[in-house]
Amino acid sequence: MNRADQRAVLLRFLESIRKPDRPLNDLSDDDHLIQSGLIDSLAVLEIVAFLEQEFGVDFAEGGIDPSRLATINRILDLVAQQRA
Amino acid sequence: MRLAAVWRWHDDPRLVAFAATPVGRIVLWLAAVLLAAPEYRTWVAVVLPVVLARPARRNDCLALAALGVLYVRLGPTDLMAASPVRLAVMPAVLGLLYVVYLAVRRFRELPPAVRRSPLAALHVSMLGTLAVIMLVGRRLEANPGHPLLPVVLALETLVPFLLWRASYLVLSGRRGSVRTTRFRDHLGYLLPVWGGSQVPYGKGHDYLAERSVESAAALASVRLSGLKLLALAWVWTGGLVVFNAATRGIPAPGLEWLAELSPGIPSLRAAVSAGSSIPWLERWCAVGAGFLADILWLASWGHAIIGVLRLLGFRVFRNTYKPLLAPSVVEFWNRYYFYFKELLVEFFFYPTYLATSRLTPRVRIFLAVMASAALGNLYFHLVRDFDEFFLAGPDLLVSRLSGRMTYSLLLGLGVYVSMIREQGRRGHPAPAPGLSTSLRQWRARIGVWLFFATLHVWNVGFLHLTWGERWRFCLALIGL
Repeated sequence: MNRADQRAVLLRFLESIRKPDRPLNDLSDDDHLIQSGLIDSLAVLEIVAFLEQEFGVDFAEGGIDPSRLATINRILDLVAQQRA
Repeated sequence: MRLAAVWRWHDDPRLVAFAATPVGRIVLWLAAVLLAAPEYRTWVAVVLPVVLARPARRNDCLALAALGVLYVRLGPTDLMAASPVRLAVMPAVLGLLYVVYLAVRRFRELPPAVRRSPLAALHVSMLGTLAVIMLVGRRLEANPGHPLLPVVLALETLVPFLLWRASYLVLSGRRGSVRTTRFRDHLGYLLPVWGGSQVPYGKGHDYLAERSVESAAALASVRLSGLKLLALAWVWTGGLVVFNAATRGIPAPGLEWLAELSPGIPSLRAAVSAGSSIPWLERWCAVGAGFLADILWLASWGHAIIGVLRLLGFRVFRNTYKPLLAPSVVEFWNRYYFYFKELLVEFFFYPTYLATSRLTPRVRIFLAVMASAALGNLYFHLVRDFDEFFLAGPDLLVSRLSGRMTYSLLLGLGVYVSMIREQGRRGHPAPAPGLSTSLRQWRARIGVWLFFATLHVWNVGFLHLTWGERWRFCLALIGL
């Protein structure tokens, strides 16, 4: 799966957890997911569970760093780094 | 639209451009000194001009100021009363912090047991140090003139103050971000000029580095927003004085007339103590007034701190952000006391969630919520009020502990139920705007107020109220 495919999968997931009044279309890949109001800080957990299951990302060693899950690009960077 | 523009005056391009000029920075500094809360005024007066002039050296400046913060925290607040003992203890405290820094810098070389639970290792060692300090303190109290006694007593408050800040340093080590930093990059938040309680406002290095603003225009904008928060802190402080005069009849200069008109609602602590001996309506008024006063106080206190942080060039979240508009319990928890919630989330919620990966998502969330909102919350208060819990005798220990445990348990359950309900709502289209939607939103908000206002009964006056008094008061609220 290349980065574009991963992005498409990630966007589908974010669509399922976004707040009702915050459309995903308005968001760029570098926009802050929490600051933009798309998700709340506790929904970060759902992103963690999704990355564990979908991409096999292992958070056990470094723990969860919310700043690395802050934007679509940073999440894709994290996935790429874990797979490298 | 016009009102929104006025409210966001700190984003006005002309003002931002002016604030970036040398004259603008001087005006900003003078305004900040004027508006800063009295306890931070000296630091703002001394540190801010240097940071304004050399923003690139901000960390160095904050590290230097941290030495002053340490000196002040190590003893009597009279800065002029130079004490050789305090000066001698300073290197010891800095040395201990440096050891923690060196250890987390070589995180991968630490023993496996420490690597697996670095925060537990830190807490055991720091609380062990605290226990030794307290033992020494009790012995020295027999000799009140002993020159070491004030320093030992100061260390008793300094160690818990440093505990959660050092925890953020350990977190940076675990994430690996500490490897590219210097010790002085961490001193600024370990011993911050923006003060605060045992809750680290602005968290640690990682968060501050991420929220650090660099460009001249962005710096001017964030500084102006800091100024706005300092002004808002005074507004809420004044609001609290007026509120207390209007509801409880507490006189304040110029407000004696308002206090005389007040219905004289008792404080929540007094109301809980009085139990069913006061009328039902008065009990509820005490609950509501106690809840609102608490929010006003927290907003005022948090804005005064976050305002300073923003003036220093960190675009950090507010500590309290419109909590009364929160549509759910979990959202209120997020908005009411942001940095305490973040502490619980980062040190209890995430680790528990990761440690339970073999369980179902819902069970993982339940355990993580209970570990943070309930257990973490309880642990934080046990450490913070260690002497009040453990040195007061077994009867008071049980009474205080049971009240705090009930509060933590109820909060955890409330947050969990709210999270599950929020999960169910996500991904669906927003309801169409209209009267029924608006009514539903307000009903939800009122439900949230009721939950936290009644929960506050378990949080107030922990030194004085018993578990039984609180239960009787809660039952009396519903007429039982």
